Amino acid sequence: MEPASLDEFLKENHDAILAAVMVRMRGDEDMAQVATKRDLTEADLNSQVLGFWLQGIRSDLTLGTTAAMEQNMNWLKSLRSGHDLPFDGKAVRRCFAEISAEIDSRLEDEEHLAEYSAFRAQVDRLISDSFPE
Amino acid sequence: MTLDEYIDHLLAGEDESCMAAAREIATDLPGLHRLYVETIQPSQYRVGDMWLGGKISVATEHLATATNSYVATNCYAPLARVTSGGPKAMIACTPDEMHELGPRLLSDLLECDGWDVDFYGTSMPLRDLIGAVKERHPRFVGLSAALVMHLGSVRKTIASIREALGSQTPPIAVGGNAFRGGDELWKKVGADLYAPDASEAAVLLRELRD
Repeated sequence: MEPASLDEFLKENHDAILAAVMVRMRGDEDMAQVATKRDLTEADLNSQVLGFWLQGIRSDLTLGTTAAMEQNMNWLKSLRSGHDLPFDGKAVRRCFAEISAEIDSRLEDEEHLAEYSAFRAQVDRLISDSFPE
Repeated sequence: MTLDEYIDHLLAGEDESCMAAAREIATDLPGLHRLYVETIQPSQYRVGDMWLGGKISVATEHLATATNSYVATNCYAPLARVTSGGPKAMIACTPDEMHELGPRLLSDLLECDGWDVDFYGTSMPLRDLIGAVKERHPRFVGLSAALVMHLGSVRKTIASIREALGSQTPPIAVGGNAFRGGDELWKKVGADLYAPDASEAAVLLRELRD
């Protein structure tokens, strides 16, 4: 049975979700480019970035905000001009899409599914506003 | 020395140049407040923004933070008062929060203001934090968060303290870079008090001291 709250569910399943999303993102060309620029293995870079996303998602769901995701967007835009890291809209959308797909695949509670769907729509709009196509 | 010049020395690890500038400001307690709020805190925020923007490395950010910590310690020490018998204040970073300079600055100013401060530093485990509140009976608990992604943890920490202590829960104040964005995030985490910098926090908390 799922925990009462969605953020508790994500906390309990953090490691499993992260591992599964890393498998989904394996071989992603944009992430591989970033890893090379930062002199990290692809696995280490993905673990950092995806773990960061997951922590921000949990924080926002706990608070009922998108504050962490907003800060994430600002950082990603800054890193593009500062470190010349290729976090473009395509890569950012794919990261969030794969994380969301993994979370959705694990949820069974209808209320949690609806809650995450609403949150996902908000973040998708944030990404579109931050990285216009 | 302007703030920009101070930051240039900071990023170059020129601690004695930073120290010389700081000593000219922190000649007394009001000066210490000005040093913390007008030099150290804004320089830390600028360094943090530069790191986030990829303009400086992690190593340079650590060097700058260590230099500011050195400056704060050496400016605070001559002005420190030995406080015993003053009301107890508890200052800590929430679990996973590794940035301790900001709450450290607040602890210094509170000590100068007659508080008996227990400062727990970074990444305080929740169970131990609750145990410390029960054991030490602080007049208030101050929690710090530097990153917005840690605000979920702040909210859980506050909720857990309230659940454990019930009506005995002391007032809970929050601060740190994570709360700068507005939207009254401090209310969303369930705190009672918030101040945007260490100096304003010290003034606000006098209401609980007296």
